[in-house]
Amino acid sequence: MFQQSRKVVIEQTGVIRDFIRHKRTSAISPSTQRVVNQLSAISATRKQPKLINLCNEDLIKHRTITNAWKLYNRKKNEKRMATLQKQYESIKNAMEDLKHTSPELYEAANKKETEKRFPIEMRIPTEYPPTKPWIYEYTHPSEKEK
Amino acid sequence: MLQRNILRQSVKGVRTFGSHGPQHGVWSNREKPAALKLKDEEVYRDLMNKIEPGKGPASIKNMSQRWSYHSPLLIDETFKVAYDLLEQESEKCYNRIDEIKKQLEQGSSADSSTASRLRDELATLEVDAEKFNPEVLYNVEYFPESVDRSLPVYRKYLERKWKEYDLPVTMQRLEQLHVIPDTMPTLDPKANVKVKFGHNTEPELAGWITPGRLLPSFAVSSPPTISVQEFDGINDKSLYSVLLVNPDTPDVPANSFKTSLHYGLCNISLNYVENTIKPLDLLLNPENRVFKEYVPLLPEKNAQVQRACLWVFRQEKELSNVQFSSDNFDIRAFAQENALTAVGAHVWRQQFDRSVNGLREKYGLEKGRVFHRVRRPYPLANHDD
Amino acid sequence: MLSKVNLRAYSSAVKPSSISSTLLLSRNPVITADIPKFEDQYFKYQNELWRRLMWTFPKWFYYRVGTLSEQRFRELNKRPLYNNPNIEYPRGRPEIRQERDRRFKQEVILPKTYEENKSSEDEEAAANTSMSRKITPNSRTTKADESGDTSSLERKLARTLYLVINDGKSWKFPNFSLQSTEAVKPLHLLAEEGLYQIGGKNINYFNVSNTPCHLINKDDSKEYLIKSHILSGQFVPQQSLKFMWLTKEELSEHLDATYFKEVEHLLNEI
Repeated sequence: MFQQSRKVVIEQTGVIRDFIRHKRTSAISPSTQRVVNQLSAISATRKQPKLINLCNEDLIKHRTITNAWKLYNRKKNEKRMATLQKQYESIKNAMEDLKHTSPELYEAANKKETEKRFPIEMRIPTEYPPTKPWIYEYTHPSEKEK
Repeated sequence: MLQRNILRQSVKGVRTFGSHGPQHGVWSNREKPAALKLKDEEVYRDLMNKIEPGKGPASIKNMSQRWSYHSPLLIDETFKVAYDLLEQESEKCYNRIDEIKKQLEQGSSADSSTASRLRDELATLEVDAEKFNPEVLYNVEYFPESVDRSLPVYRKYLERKWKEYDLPVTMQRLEQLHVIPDTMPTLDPKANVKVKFGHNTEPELAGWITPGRLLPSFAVSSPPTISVQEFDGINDKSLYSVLLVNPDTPDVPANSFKTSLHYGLCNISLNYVENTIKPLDLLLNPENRVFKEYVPLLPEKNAQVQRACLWVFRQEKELSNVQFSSDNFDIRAFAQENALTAVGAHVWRQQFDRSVNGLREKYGLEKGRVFHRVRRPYPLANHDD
Repeated sequence: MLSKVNLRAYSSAVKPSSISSTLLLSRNPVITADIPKFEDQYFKYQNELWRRLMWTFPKWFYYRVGTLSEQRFRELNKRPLYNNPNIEYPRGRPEIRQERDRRFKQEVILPKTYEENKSSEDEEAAANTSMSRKITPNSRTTKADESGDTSSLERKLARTLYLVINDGKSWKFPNFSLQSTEAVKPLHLLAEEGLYQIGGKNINYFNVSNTPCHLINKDDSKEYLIKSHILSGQFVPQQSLKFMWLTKEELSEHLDATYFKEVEHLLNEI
C-alpha cells in the first residue's frame, strides 16, 4: 500500500529522496525533462549578451544619427500633413463651388454610395513583383453578354 | 586676464587639418568661433572617421581598454549619411542668417518691429544652425564647465541641463523650507545661482553647496563666491543685486521672528561669460557695490535651525544711497522700492555649534544669548524693564 | 497657394457646357516603395544593434545532440575563439557563454533545404516539383523599364502612375465636358463614359468617390477632378490618340507648368 503510493509520487514529481549508490539515470521523468528543456530555451540564463558600452565618440555618433532620424521623420510628417491639408481644402472648395454651379451635380456627388464595395482585385504592394505584374485580360460585364 | 581669454576663444579660424573628416560642408568650411570646434584633434579624428579596430578611440585613456574597444557595426557609415543630412539643414540656416544680416545692415532705418523680429529669428537660427553639430554635442557632453557661454547654442544646452536637475532641486528646497513665501512671495527662475565658500579645504565643503544643506558655522566664516548664470535675454550692462537674509532671527519682545540682512550687494555687472561674484574682487574695489558687509548667520544656543536665504535680483537702473535697516529688514519692500526683479535664489541652513562663539568674537559681536530649549507661549523677556 | 484655392467664384448662371470632368486615373504601386538612402542605412544600423543585443540561439533545443542535423549545423557554425587563460588577447579577452562570444552578435547559419552551386538544368528539373527548391524573387525592374516604354502599365512598379493623353496639342489628363443637349449626368459617370469612349471598355477601375477632389476654375469653364484607380485591363486608344502612364516627376516635365502646380498636391509621391 505504502510502496504503491510512493511509486506514484516518484512518477509525478520525478524526485527520489532515498540514497542510491549508482548513477542516477532516471532521476527526472521524460515529461519533466521536456519541460526543463523548454524552459532552458526561453530562459535568459547564460544567454544574454554583454551590454553595449559606447565610448564618447561613438555615443556622440549615435546621438547624431538619432538626431538626424528625428529631423528626417519630422520633415516627412510635416510635408504629409501639409499635403493632406491642401487636399482637404481643395475637396471642400470644389464641393462648395459645385453647390452654386449646379445643384443637381452637387446632389449626385454627395449621394451615399451604399452598394459600393472595396474591390478585391486591388492588391497590397509586395517586396518583389509577381511573375505577371499586370492582368490585361479583363472583359467588361456588358461586353461578355455579347 | 579674463578679457584676454575671451578674445583668444573667439578668434575666428578654419580648421587646419585636411586629411580627416568631411571637409566640404558648412560645419567644417565656414568661418566661425573656434569654441564651436573640438579642441582635441585626435578625438576629432575619431569622431569624424572610423575608429581603427586595433588602435581604439582616443577618449579612452587606459591603453588596454582602448585596444580592446569594439565599435558597433555600421555606425560610421550611418553617421556619415546622418552628418551630411544635418549639415545640409544647417547650411539652410546659415544662408538665412546671411540674408537676415544683410537686411539688418541695409535697413537700419527700417521700423523697429521688423528689425526686432529679424533679430529674434536670427537668435533662434544661430542655435538651430549648430545644435546638431557633433562637435558641439561633444563639447557640451564632456566639457560642460569650459564651453564658451557667449555662444547661444551652448547656453541653450546648459539651460536644458539646468532645467533637468539643478532647477527642480533648488525650487523644491525653496518651497519645502518655506523660503517662498517667508522672504519673497514667489520666484520665476531665470538664472542658475550657485554658491560656494572658497576658504574651505575639506572636499565635502569646498565645492558648490547643494541648496538646503545644513552647514557648520566655520564653513561660512568668509563671504561666499556666487555664480549667476543667465541663459537668455540680457545685455552686457546688466546690473544685479544680491541679498542674504535670515528670516529666523529671534524677536524676543514679540516672542516671534524677524528678518535680518546679512550681506547686501548692488550694481554688480555680470554677463554670460563673467558670471561670478568673487569676494576678493569686492574687497579690492567695494565702492558703491557693497552696502552691507558680510556677517555670517551665527545662531545662538538653543535657537532653532536658521535659513540663510540668498536672493539675486536684476536691477532696472543703477542704485545709489540704498536705505535699509539691517536688523529688521523688509525684503519685499526693499525690492519694490529699488525696482528689483528676482531671477534666482539659493538657501542653506545653520545651527548653533562650537565654532559659533569664536566667530562672534571675530566679527565683533556681543556674546550670544542662550534660549530655553522649549519655546514658551509668552515672551521670554520684557524689554520695558 | 492655399489662399488662391480658397477664392471662390460664385456665379448663378452657368452654362452646363462649361462644366467638365477630368479623370485622374492612377495605377497603384505593385511593389513596395524604394527606401531612401538614409532610411535604408538607419534600418541596417538598428538591425545590427538589435542583433548585437540578441540572446544566444538555443541550438540544443532545435538540434538534438548526436543527430545528423546537429552535425550539419556544427559544420556550418564554427566555434568562437577559445578563451585560453595562458594567452594575452590584445583585442580583449573572449567571454564565451554557450559557445558564443557575448561581446559580439551571434551569426547563426542554418542548413539550407536545397543544394548550393547546382547547375541550372538540374534546378529547372527540380523546379515546381520540389517544395524545398531555392526561391529566387522576380526582378524589381521590368522589361518596360529597360525599353523605356511609357505606355506600359508594367513600368515603375514601385510608383503610382497617372494616365495622360495627347490630343495633338499638349499632354493633359483626360477631360470630358458635359454636353448641353444631354441631361445632367453625375461627374463620375461622365468621366467613366468618357474613359470607355477613348480607351475601350475593358478597363477594370475603382472610383474612389463620387465627390470631386479638386476644381480648376478658369474664366469660362470649370474642371472638376475625379480620382480613380485602374485595377486590371488596359487602356486601348480608340481614336488616334497618344497616351502615357507617368509618375509625378515625369508629369512635371510633360504637363504645363501652371497646370501641374495646380494639381501637384493631389498626386502621390510614392
